[in-house]
This record gives sequence, structure tokens and C-alpha cells, in this order.
Amino acid sequence: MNNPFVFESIPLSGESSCGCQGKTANQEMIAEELEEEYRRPRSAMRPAFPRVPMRARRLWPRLRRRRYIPIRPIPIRPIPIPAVPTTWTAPPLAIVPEPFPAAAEPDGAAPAPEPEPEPAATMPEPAVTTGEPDTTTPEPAEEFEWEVRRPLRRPARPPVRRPPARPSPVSGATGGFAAAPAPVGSARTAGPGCDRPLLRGACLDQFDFGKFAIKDIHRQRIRALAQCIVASQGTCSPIVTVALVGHTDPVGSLAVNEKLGRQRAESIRNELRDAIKGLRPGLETQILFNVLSRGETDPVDLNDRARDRRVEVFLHNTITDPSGCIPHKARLRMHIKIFQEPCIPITIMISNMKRLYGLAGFLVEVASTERLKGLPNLDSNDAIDVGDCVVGTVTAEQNLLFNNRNNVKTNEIVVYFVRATSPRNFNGCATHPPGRAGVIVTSTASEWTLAHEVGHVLGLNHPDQDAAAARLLLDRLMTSGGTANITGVPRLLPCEIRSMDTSALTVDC
Amino acid sequence: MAVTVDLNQVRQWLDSDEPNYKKLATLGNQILPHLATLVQGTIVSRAAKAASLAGMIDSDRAVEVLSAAAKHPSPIVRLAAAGALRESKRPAAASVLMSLLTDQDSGVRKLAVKSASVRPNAALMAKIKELGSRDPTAGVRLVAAKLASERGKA
Repeated sequence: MNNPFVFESIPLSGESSCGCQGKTANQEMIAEELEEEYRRPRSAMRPAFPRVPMRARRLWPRLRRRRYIPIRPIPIRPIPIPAVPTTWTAPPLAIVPEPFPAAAEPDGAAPAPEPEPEPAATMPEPAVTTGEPDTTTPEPAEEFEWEVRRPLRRPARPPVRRPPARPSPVSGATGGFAAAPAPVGSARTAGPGCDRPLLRGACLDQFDFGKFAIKDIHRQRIRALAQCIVASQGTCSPIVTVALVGHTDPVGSLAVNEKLGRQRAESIRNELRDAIKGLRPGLETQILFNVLSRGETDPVDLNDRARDRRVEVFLHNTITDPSGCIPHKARLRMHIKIFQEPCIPITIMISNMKRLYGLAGFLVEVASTERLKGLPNLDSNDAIDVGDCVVGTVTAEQNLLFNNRNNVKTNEIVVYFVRATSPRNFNGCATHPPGRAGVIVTSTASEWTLAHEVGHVLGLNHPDQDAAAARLLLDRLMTSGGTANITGVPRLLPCEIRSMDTSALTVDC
Repeated sequence: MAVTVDLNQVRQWLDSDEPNYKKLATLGNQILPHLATLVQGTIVSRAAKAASLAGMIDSDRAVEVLSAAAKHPSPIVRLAAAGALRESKRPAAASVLMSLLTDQDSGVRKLAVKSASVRPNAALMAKIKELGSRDPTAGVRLVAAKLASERGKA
């Protein structure tokens, strides 16, 4: 009774002004279960590589941390005891009313852990309907905060138009995660194309054709994002990483669209950075911004291209992924082992591969690089006997070469750069012993051969056999017309991306 | 009915990263003039693949193509010729192999040793034995000595 304080773990209330922070443990569990539910079919396709359960991997460490971090004292108001008149004169009770801390609420409610962000009135925003600044309506909580509507890693699907009657997550379809419907004039109302498989992020669409300039509907949304990021800094899970992925519609060349998508993402990044700086100067330098472009490779709507012209923003509250895997779908780890340098620099081959695979949503990582000085019975000047390079047949020399893995994991690929192959000359060969995924790339390889051969390992085949057809398919990575004849950035078809996606060698981010 | 193949078609087929050699070899002698042209070209990858394809065609004209490949300035093309000669059953191939056994590139010599060791030719075997003891490259010596020993036992 003498101790006026009791200690209590304060749950995150989920009542912040922007709604992007303070998700309760129960909400998080539901979200994780939803995410896990979406991931389950894909996991089932990989019996050889069982996954650590999502909850065990993600949820419990967070909950465990949360038990200890937000602990603060709650004062107890002392109860005054009324004086009882007796003949015996008792000494006066020394009850002195103590001033309670201002933060303590009479009903015991936990005070807000962080001061509210500056009111929206300090940042006038144009109202689309009237053209007048709306200084009375507070900044809305929109759908980008902590919602798990659909997983980032979803089964690939053909881009089809969604029915208009589909309930928007903003309107409360996510079980209370979203706080308020979006106002008129927000990016949400500007485009239902934002129904993308976002995980804690936002989608800003309706860019003008061929343009990367930000529109007013984007600015309003960006300010809300900035407030969300700033407000999260006082919580136990501050947002520290923002990934921005630019997209375009299918009109135009692949290279132009990739550049345009990047420019759009950079525009949003710059605006978001300025907005954060306006709210809390200096914070913008502590946030890590990752800008990516997927160009035209990931459309959402064939009938409304304005929905495709978009930037997806992903907010992350931990730097758990410094490699920047998210927002890629999966990562592919390669180990480079050089027996002899090819004519085309290896860096160019890897750069091209990263670019193309990145467009398809796969992060290519070079885990290690090693120079093979000389192996038993193999010299760097030797041509490696690969036979006919037919799937399922591996020669003794291939076995000898592929034995050099040096702690490479079974779900990683080794690329051996050799001088040549024999008895037939190939630019590369993707046959490999079971359980030792790898490819051979020769010194006469083109700048796309590496990506081509790894594509074979991931389950892709040549789409064409006829020479005439092959010449017409030189915009495809897996063309049999020779990757040396490819001009520009080749394509990967959606069905090919799906095949790569299901490979055990592409590991979910 | 014979299918006429022109140089451009052969060039396109060989441009593939992994040409279908078995299928192309069925075209036979008609593509040899084109291979002879390509094997002397400056595009190393294409010349090497032309040499590989020529080795799969059983013809004296194919050996002539391989002979030209064996004189190519690029060791990659000479490597392809050395590998392709392993499959050639023509007697004329022995002389081409003999020239490759004295090539300045150790990789070419080593592959030529492997190709020559499967041929029942006394002159080639004598050369292999010599390389087994006197080649400046240890890898070539090792392979030549081993193959000469195996052939001696047989």
C-alpha cells in the first residue's frame, strides 16, 4: 500500500491518429495468419524445403520484445479517509494531496506514447472538389497502414479487371485495421487500382501517360504517409525503411518503361522525403529509401491503364532485410566460381541478370566469388566435357567441377565460368548433378547467357525450335536464336515467371 | 526431298547458346560448305560451333573443315576442333590431330590427347607417349601418360 505505483505492460493501443502504428498483438496475429494462409499453397509446392512456420519466425520474436519494452509506471490516486469524531483525539492524518502527473488519466487509460503530429491545418491541402484548402478535416487514416489485405507473395494471376462492387479495404473490409474511409480527392478515390497485394504500404496510381510528375491526389496521400512514418518513430516499431516500386502501363518499350517506372518512384520518394522533413527535420536522413522499377511487367488492369501507372510504397519497421529483398517476391543466391574469365565481363552478365530478374520480382544476390586455381585433373585452360548437355546426363568432368561448392547451400546456384565445353561447343550448359544446382558459362558467352542458363536451372525451356521462329523471338531471354542477338532487355513471359516462382531455388523474401 | 539450306540459316542455328547439334548433323554434307565459311570467320563463338558440328558429320569434307578450324588463330576454335575430332572416324582426321598435339595452347594439346587416344593409330600413340614425358605442362603430361599407359595395357 505504501507503493503508489504499479507496473504494467501497456499494449499498443492502435489508436494513433494515422492508424499506421499501434497494431495490437491480436491484430498482428490475425494479420500474420492471413499472410500465412496466402503463403501456404506455395509452401506446399516445395516439399523438399520445409519452411519455418511464419508465426514462429515473425510473430513470436515481436511479441516477446513487446513484453519488455513498453513498461511505464501507473500512479495510483490515494483514497482520502474521512475523519471520525471520537472522544479520543487522534493525530491528524497526514494525507497530503499530491499532484498527479499530467499524463496520468483518471480512468487509467494509457497516455499516448508520442505527441500527436502537427495538425493538418499547418499543412493546407487542396480539396479537389472545391479547390479550396481544407484546413478543418484532419488527415485521414487510409488503407496503407498495417493492413494485410493480401500477401506480397501471391500466386501469379492474369491481370483482370476487378468488379467494381468489391469492397475496398478502406471501407473496413479488413476487420477494423483501417480507421476511416478515405476522403474525396485522395489517391484511393482516384484509383481503385490500388487494390494491389500490398503489405503495409500504399499505392499511388493515376500517373499521366508517359509522365512521372506528381499530382495533387498523390501529394495528399504522401503527406499522410509522412505523418504515419513520423508518428511511428515514438513506438517500439518505428518505420525505418521505405521501398518504392514504380510501374508503367504496357505501352512503349521495355527499357523506356523501366526508366519511367523508376522516375515515378523517385518522384514519390522525393516528395515523401520533403514531407517528412517538413514534419520532423532530420528524420528524412534516417529513413532508408529503396527505389525500384518493375516497368510494365506487373500490370493490374488491362482495361484501365491508369491503374498500371503507379508507384507502390512499402513501409518496414525494422531493418531486418538490408539486402533489400522486399519488395521483391523472392531472392536467388548465386556463387560465382571462375575458372577462366569470359570475354564479356562477368559484372555485365550479373548486372543484366539482376536487372531482368528484378523486373520479374526476383532479387539476384551474389553470395560469393571465388577463383578456382586448379583442380585435380582439371586446369583453367581445359574444355569441360559436358557431353551433349542433355538434362539428366552428367559427365565425370561435370561431377568433378560441380563438387567444388565450398559450403554452398542446396537452394543456391553455383555459376562456373570455364573456358569452353567439349566435345560440343556451347555458350553455357545448365545440366548439373542432382542436389548441386549450377551452370557452366563459357568464355564465348554473351551478356545474357548467364541469365539464360540460370533460367534453365529454374525450370525454363527454349520456347521455340524452328530457326525462323527463333529469329522472331529474340526479345525473349529463353530464345534459341542466340542471346548474343538480343538487343535491349529481353522479356520473361508471365508463365515463365510463374515457373521461376515455383522453383525451390527462389526463396521467398 | 532434300531441303536446301543457306548460309544465313546455318548461322542462325549456330547462334543459339545451346545449338541442337544432333538435329543439325542430320542435314549432312549440304551444310559443310557453309561450315567451311563460318569456321574461318572472325566470330569465335560461331566458328567454334561450326567446328563442333562438322565433327558430327562423317565425311572427308568435314575433316577439311576441321583442318581449317585447327589453324584458326583463336584457341577456342582449335579447342572445338580438337574435341570434334574425337568423333570423326575418317583416317584423314589423324593428321589434323597430330598437328593439334603440337599446338602452343596447353588446353588444346590436352584435349587433342584425349581425342587421339581413342584412335588406333601408332603415330598418334607415339606422340602421346612423348607428351607424357616431355610436355611442359604438368596437366598434359599427366593425362598423356595415363592414357598411354591404359592403351599400352589394352
